[in-house]
Parts: sequence; C-alpha cells; structure tokens
Amino acid sequence: MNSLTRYILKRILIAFFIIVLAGVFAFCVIRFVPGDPVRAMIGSDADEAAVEAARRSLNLDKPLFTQMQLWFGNILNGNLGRSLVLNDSINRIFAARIPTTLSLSIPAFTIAIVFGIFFGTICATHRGSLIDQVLTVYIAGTNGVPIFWLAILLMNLLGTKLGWLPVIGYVKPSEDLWQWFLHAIMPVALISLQPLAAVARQVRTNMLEVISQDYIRTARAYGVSETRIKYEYALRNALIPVITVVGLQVPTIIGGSMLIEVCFSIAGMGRLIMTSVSNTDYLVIQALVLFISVVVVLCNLLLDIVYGLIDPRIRLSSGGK
Amino acid sequence: MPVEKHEAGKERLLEVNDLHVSFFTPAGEVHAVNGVTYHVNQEEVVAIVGESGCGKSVTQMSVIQLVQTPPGKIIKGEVLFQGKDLLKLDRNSKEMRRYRGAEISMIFQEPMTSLNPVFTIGKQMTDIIRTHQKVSKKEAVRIAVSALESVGIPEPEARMKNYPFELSGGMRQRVLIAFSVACHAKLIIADEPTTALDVTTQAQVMEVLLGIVREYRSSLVVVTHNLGLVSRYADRIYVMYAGRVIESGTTEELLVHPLHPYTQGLLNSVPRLENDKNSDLEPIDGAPPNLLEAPACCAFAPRCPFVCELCRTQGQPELRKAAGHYVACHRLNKEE
Repeated sequence: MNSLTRYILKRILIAFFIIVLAGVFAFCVIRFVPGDPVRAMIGSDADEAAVEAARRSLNLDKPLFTQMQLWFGNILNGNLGRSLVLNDSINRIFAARIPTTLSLSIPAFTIAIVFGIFFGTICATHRGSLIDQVLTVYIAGTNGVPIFWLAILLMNLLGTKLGWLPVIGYVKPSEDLWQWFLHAIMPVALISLQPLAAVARQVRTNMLEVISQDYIRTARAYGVSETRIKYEYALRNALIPVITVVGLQVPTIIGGSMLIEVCFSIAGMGRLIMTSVSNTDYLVIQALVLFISVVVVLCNLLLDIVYGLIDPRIRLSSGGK
Repeated sequence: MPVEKHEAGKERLLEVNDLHVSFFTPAGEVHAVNGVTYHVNQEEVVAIVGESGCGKSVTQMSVIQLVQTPPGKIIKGEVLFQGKDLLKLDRNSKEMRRYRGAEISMIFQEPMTSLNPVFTIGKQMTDIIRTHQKVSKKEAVRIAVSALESVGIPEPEARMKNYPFELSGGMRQRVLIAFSVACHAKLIIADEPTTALDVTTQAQVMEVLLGIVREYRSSLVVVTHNLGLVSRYADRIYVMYAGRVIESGTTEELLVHPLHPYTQGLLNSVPRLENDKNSDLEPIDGAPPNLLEAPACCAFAPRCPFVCELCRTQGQPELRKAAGHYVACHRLNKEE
C-alpha cells in the first residue's frame, strides 16, 4: 500500500468516527433543550391521552438509548424519519431542498476559492499597488458587514430601484437556466463574499511569506521564469495553509445560505433550518444537524486528501508508519 | 588593475568595478557595498573573506542582480561577465535570466531551506535544465541523473524521486552543486557553502565542489569567513570590510604577509594547531560599523590598533599596491 492510500484510509476512518459522534450529539442536544416537542407539535391544549399516544407513536416513551438505537438503525436503512409539522417524510423534504441549496452554495464555494486565490496572489505580487489597497479594503470591509444587511441593500438597489434582478424566489436550472442564473446572482455573490475575503487574505499573507523564502531565491538564481516562480513554485507552497482556511469556510457557507435563503425566500436547506427550529420539528432538526455534520466532515476529508496531494511532507509523515 | 605576473595568460571571466549597493530601510539608506572592485579569471578559485554584514554576500548577489529590490538597489558599478556588462540588463529580463544558472550559478549557505519543499529533486532539476537547454523531458532526466552522480550522490535515479526533506543537509548541498553541474556554469559562486553543515561533511562537500570546478574547468568564487577553508583551496583572496575591499592578493602572499591591520586581526583570531594550546586567541576589539552613513574616513579606524591622525582626516583609503599585493590603509601608503 503506498503512503497516499494509507493516509487517505486513515482520514476516512477518523471522518467516520466524527460523524457517529455528531449523530449522538444531534440526538442528545434536542432532548436536553427545555420544552416538550410533542406538546409543541400537537398543541398545548390537547388532552393528556392524545399526547401520550403521540409520544408512543414517536417512540419517545422508550429509554433514551433504545431511541438512539432505533434512530441510528433507521438512518442506516436510509430512513431519516417523518416530520409531523410538515406531515411528510424527511427524505422527501431533503430531496426537494438539497439540490436548491447546492445549486447556490457550490457556485458560491467555487467562486470563493478561485477568486480568493486569484485576488490573494494578485495582492501579494503587486504589494502596495492600487489593486492591493482596494482588495485589502474589501477584505477588511466584508468582515465587518453582516451579509443579511448587505442582502437587503442589494435587493433594494438592484431589485426594487433598478429592477435588474428578481428579489424573491428561485427557479430550478433544469426548468430555465437563464432564469436560474438571474435568481442566483445575488444569493451566490452574497454567500461567497466572506469566504472569498477569508481565502484571499490567507493567500496574500502566505504568498508574501513564501516569496521571501530561500528556495524562491534558488529558483531565481537558476533563471526560472517569474511566472513559473510565482504561480507554480510559490503558490503551491502558499496554498498549504490556505486549505485549512478553505475547510473553515464550509460552515460559513452553510450559515450564509441559511441567512440568504431566508432573505430571498428560497425553499432550500437553509430556510428549512429556520422553520424547523421555530416549529420545534425535532426529528427534522436532528436530521439536519446530522446532515450538516456529514457535509462538513466530508468536505474536510476531501481537503485532507488535497493536503496530502499538495504537501508530500504530510502524506509521507502521517501515512508512513 | 594591471594584469599580474601570476595571472598572465589567463582570461578574465568576471570583472566587477566600483560596485555600490544600498538598502533603503525605514531607518535610512544602508550602504552595504561601497565601491567594490574585484575580478575572477578563468579556472581560478577566488575567496571573498570578511565578517558578517561586510557586504560580501550582497556583492555576489548583485552579480546576477538577485538583490531584493526593494529594499535593495544597485546604485552604480559595472559587472563585466566575459566583457558584457550584466548591470545594463533589466533584472527581470529574459536575457538576464539566461545568465542565471547557465553562465553563473550560485550555491547558497542554507541547504536545508534552499530547495523547494513540495517538489521532488528530479522535478526541480529538470525544470532548471529545461529552462536553459532545449531538450526533451527524458533527456533532461538523463542530464540530471548524471549531474547527481558527478557530485557523488549514491543511487541518483532513486534520489530524483525524493523530496528535499528526505535528504540530509550534506546531500542537499550536493544536490545544489549538481544544479550548477547540470547547467554547465562557467562561474560558480558559493556563498558560505559549508557553514550550515556538520564539520565532517564540510570537507566532503568542499572537495566535491572543487572536483566539479576542476573537471568542468569553471571558476569558483567562495564567500566565507572560514580562513582555514580559504588557505587550502583559494588561488587569490579579497578581504572585505564595511562594504569595501581592504586587501587583496594571492593566498600565499596574503596569509603569510598580511598588511592590513584587519586582515592581521582576522588571522590572529583563528586557532592554529602549531600554536601553544594555552595561548589566547586575539579577538578584534569593537564591532563592525553601522553602515547607515557611508564612512567618511577609513571604516576600520575605530577598531584599528595602529590608528593615526591620517586615518581620521584623509577620507577613505584607496586600494594601492604594497609589497606584492593590494591594500587600502593610510598608514601603509604613507610609509611607502
């Protein structure tokens, strides 16, 4: 087995344990918060017998450990449970909403990474120039501005005042690609705003550090072209710490899409979080927490693998023995 | 400078004239190199000696315009390589890059950090080879393997697939020497090539380097503060102090009859086997001058045991011929 395969297998094993732990956490947290979910679901004035019946049908009368076993068993069979509030299977609810959220967050994530690296590199290689100063202000600015506020301003300006872009709703790309594009521009731009700045800042800092390293001087001393030095020799080294920052953007993107989906009235996973929490739809919340953990863990697993591919030292040292 | 007897028949490879390099820092302009003049003949080993901060590395970096700009800047001077002034070329131009590596190779002090950590030795070598020679990937690999072999690296094919962190310091320095072998450089500049190595590997690496220089009939400039190294290998020596050459001559001349008080001080501060083991080394008192202001008089005057009135009033001493070699000292020039 070569070192890369060994490294990846080790990462997968760790990811699996984290997901199980996250499931246990999701299960517990919803049961330890104050308030009775059954009462919240069927109404506070329902009689005791009806509440008991509902409790039994949801297995809530069984011991906690049995409940957890049942839940995990169902999940392994591909059944996330049933939402009493929406009166639908959670599998179906998720299936309808996941593509919507992905069609916004994947472009946002891609834009954040690609442009983040690009802007960061430009800033570092043109340090102190006008473009560097403009981008630095942008990077600092986005950290101080809440995106829902920016969303409202943009909706007001581009949607209501100028009428260029739709401010509400969502169109599937399979239905009408152009309409999807128009509906997605503002949400995608807003979701990617902060992650892009975070990536750009990290790339800029690392590039500046790497550019002054001895091995860059060596490459220069042997006549290697500046383009190759910057975009191959330096960038590859500068990207290693950036991967960590990219990983940290996954939760930011999830949080961002929650806010943006609410602002733009898009029926995605983000808005589902909001509605299920305010309805105390506890099985949905439980499934959502597990789902988000799986997404975050899988993204980080992917980045760990990328880490190993980019940096031989990580691959060879942690997968070696 | 006129051609000396011992240099007769040898062609000039590199000639540096009146080089001035400054660094512009928040504290002001640091005059790192203040009018350095030296030359290197073909197939010659020249040593540049001086303590830390005397401008010896900056001088060498300036030869291929490798000084970080900003904050550094080559103010004036000439760097004639085979008669062509390299300072007239733009430092980022393609033409300047053609000289780097292919004509003049540099080997740096820090083998541990001078190789790119995320690329294999093979990738780094073939990149450089293919920068200068129009050859196929396969041919570049062949050149790289034979270069690694020539610097005494065992199993060169296997080493090509290694990353720098898998090799020891001595091996990495050999790899860096192999870089210049692969490029067939006419001039190799080695900036303290053995300082960062274990004492046991220092001699080995130095032997490899000199073997390469002899085999390919290249010239070598060794920048060092190690006088032991110099006495064994160098044909000629330049002693630098505060950004100027203060004494130069053949190794024998300079080590046997050092004229400048600084050179004498340097030699007295080196332990020798033939000396009584109880005799103390003589350090040079004081510290090197702050180069924020270009010294108006002899820069060594504040530390010189023989300082006289002339040293403080006559401005900077010129390099003049005295007793078989060149020295920049008012006191000696006066005595003549």
